[in-house]
Amino acid sequence: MKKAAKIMRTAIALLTTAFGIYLLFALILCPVKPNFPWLNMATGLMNEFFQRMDKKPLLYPSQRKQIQSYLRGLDSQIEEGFASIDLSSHEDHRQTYRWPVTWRKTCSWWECNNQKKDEVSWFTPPLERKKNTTFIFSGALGLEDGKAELSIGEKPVLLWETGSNQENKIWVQDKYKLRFFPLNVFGYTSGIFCLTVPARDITAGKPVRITVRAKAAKSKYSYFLLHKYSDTCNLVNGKIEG
Amino acid sequence: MNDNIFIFCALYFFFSFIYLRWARPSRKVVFLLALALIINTLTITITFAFGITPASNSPLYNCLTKHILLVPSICLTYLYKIIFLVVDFAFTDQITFALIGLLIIILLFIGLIKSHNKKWKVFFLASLCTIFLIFFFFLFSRTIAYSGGKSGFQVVRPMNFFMEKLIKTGSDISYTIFNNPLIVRRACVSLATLLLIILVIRKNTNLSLYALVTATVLACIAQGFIITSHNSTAIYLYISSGILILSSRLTDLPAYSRKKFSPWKQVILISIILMTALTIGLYKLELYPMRYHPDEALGSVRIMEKAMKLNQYPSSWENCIANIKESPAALFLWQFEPPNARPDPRTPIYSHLAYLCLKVLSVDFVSMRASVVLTGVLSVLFLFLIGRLIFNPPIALMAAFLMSISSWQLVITRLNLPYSVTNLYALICIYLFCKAITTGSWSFYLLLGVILPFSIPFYPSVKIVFFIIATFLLLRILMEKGFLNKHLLGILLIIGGVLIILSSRQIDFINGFLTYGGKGADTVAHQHSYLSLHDNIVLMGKASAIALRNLIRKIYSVNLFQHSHKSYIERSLHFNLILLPFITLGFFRCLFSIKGKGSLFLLLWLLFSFSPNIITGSGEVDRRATLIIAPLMVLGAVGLYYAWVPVMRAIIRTNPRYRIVSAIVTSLFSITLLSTSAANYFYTYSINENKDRRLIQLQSLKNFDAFLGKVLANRKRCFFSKNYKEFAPDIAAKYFLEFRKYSKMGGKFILRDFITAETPMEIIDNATHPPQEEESFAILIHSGAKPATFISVLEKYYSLAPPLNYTYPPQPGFELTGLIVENTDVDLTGEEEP
Repeated sequence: MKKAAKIMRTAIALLTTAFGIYLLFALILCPVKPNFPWLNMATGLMNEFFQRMDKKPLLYPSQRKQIQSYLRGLDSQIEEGFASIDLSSHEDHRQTYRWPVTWRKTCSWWECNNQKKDEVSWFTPPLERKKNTTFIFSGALGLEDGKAELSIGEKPVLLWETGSNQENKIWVQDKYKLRFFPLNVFGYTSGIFCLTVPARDITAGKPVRITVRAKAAKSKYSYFLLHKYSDTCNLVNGKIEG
Repeated sequence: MNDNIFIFCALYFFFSFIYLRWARPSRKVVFLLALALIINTLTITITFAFGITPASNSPLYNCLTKHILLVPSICLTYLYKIIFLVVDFAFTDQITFALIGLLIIILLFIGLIKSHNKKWKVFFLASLCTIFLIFFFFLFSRTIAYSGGKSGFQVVRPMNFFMEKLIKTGSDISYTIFNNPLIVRRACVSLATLLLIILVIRKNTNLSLYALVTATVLACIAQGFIITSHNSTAIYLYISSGILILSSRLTDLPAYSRKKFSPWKQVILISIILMTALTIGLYKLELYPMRYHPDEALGSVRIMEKAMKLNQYPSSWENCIANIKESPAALFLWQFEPPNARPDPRTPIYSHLAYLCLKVLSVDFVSMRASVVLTGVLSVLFLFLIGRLIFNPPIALMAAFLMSISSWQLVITRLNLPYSVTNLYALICIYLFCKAITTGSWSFYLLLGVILPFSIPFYPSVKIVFFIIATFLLLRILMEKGFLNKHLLGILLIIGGVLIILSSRQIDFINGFLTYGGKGADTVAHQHSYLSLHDNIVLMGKASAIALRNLIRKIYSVNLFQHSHKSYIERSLHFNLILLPFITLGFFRCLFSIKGKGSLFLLLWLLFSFSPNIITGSGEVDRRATLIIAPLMVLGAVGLYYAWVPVMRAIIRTNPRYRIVSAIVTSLFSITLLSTSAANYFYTYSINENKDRRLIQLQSLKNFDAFLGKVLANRKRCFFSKNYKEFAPDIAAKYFLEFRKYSKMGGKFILRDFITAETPMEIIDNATHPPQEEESFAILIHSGAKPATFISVLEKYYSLAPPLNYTYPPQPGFELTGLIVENTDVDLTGEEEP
């Protein structure tokens, strides 16, 4: 057994040494661009490996799974939550949860909860059916605690808390539901909002106007911020990868 | 941070205890270790965990931390006192000091000749070498460290000539390799063919030798392909050489008799290596690096503030006890500041060497930098000691030599920032750990336990020491108890474990431990939030792999004589291109002989040295990669040793011939490495200093400091035509001006008087009231204050040296005039007479 192992080891050593010497000959024949066996294949594999490594998704599987499992339990149609801005108190380009992939700041609108008249108002795309609907839109919350009021059309429907620890909270009032899925932190928490609206507020063929108004906060670092993304629904459904 | 230190110290003791208990079941040792554990934990680690300021006043804290650390602090303070007295004596009575020195040298020499005991002989030789090294440090830091002939030492002229020749040769060799890659490749292949033929002719049937020769040549050619930017071919060849190294391990190498490397030879060789490190470290220290980093200046000012206290303190025993907390030599843990990239007077070793250098040399930036060079030299010494413990003396010597000439090591040792001292501290800890492991002596475990808590003020990458120690001990316990037989699996488990630890960032102490200095740099764990554990680990794995790739790419990249400006460390990390193939070979050698304790430890050391760059995600931040030098140099030495010794032993079979050939080849190869490394550092500066716009700008700032040096030399007072803070051309220069407030006269540190005097008459008034001893003073005049008026008025009263002018090219309007009043014998009665 020992002898067999020794022969085996010697044979492997012989083969690899012969391979090494073969490489030397290949270098003598063509020192500029030697024709090594499997070089191109290995290069291709390596490049592919690192390309895969470098590739980052906009939404990680666990994040998507979490949002989708929440949406599945809602019994409502899932629709995009942003189409165009109506009015806002502040506007600037900000980092979003997509920043590590896109390295681009995105136009964002916000209201500060300590400013009484601040608000952000936007339109969803027109809806096809009159049914309970969950709107999905991208936004962010400032790190300081505060309160904001959400309105559908002109009607205030939900009073909710903003701040840093809103990860697992669902705000419910009547048949209105709001949940925030935080995805990344940049001095504020950027993520995805899911707002469920009952069928009575939906008119087929017409967009819905959503407004977030400042209600109460101690500092200007309590705010709601809306990102200009009209593909959040597709992102959650997996139609966009990265 | 403090809690983490405590936890990791506790972990360290826990693992050492179990290791000793299981691996070396000696009751006495276990008892002593347990005792040491209790004492040390009580004195330092637990007290440390109770709070960082004495104000927290836990009784235990007050009782133990305050009083027990009092003893070493007092000892160190008095040691300073003695050293300072000796230095004062040396400067005041030079002839007597020289005679005493000579007498000691003669006595040591007699001891060396007459003693029959080998240990004593080595001791005498080591003492002699230490004295000579100290002398050469003193000589070189006053001569070759300066660009212009500051002093008239003719003896160092040949040294300058030799260094310039060396740099020139190195640049020629590098250019030759760069410009003729095909010839180099062909030469490598021809050499390999020749060696293989010789092996065949000498009837060597051992396949390992053929595999080793081929592997070495393929690695060298691989590096050649990196030069021509064929990276994929280079990786292919490197991996092939790795496979060949693995195959060389499949069959046993021929046994050969190895003569013991005698200790006195080791002493002489390491002294030569340290001398090389000193020379190359101090050469043109004033000129290169090109700029004084603002942090260097800030650190120097803070060091001088502390050093001033050493003039008087301690005036008496009572004074020493009463003010021990204020002693610059005090070692109280609560005084240490959190980790920072800035040099700090409370950074142990760094500050102590700085005080000594400032005392022995002049008070300027070059002296501050010279103290950092000393830490680099000591690092070389400790690397030698470590190499000797985990491998053998030839590898240790080679590793020390490679470190002494490494251009990346030169970058960090020639800059007055805390990177070099962090390296030294890590090496000291690793040495004590290796010593504890190899000897099993409890005293080393205890000593290491005492030293570990002092890691706080060092650069944060030093945290890896805790990980290395804990991981190595854990692995050895698992292996020696038979829980884990596969070493490579062990390493993979460690990597997995580290990733899991990183992902558990909810645990406060881990989160704190990962915070990377100052406000903290994001780690791979911090980059993404709100992910599941699985996604988080996958993501961190990917980020770590990318960071590792970036770091390896950076290590292997060739950037010949191209200056790249860095904000923190002026030159990018750079290794000798001739050495890199051997580092790779050494890595493969250790990887495939991981069953050896030395190889396992070295690989762990390397892995954790990489970790600051990897866990912080980018892999490209140079200043976090300073700890990689030492393990890489040991790998290089291992690669060189195993590429040379077995093959040459097989070719040249007789001992005397082998030794002659080895000596000649080693000398030639060492000179080649030395010259190319020196060229890497010095030639890069010298060819770019007039081309690079930023370098020119930096040079003009340095000129500002030189101008201040000339104007203020040996003067206690300086008058400024407006507030002195407005005399600096930019923010960085303000620190230079601040540092120039300090000087040394009659062996004592002094604080110069910077007086604002807007008119010449104010200067005269201030200079004469109150009447002072006859002494010269300096005047700095801003261009807006009409220097000509000052000169014409002052000329009437004083004899003035020719005025010195300074202009700052980036701000054309910024001009300064420096006046030196040589004679203050003022005759105010004869107003019209000069």
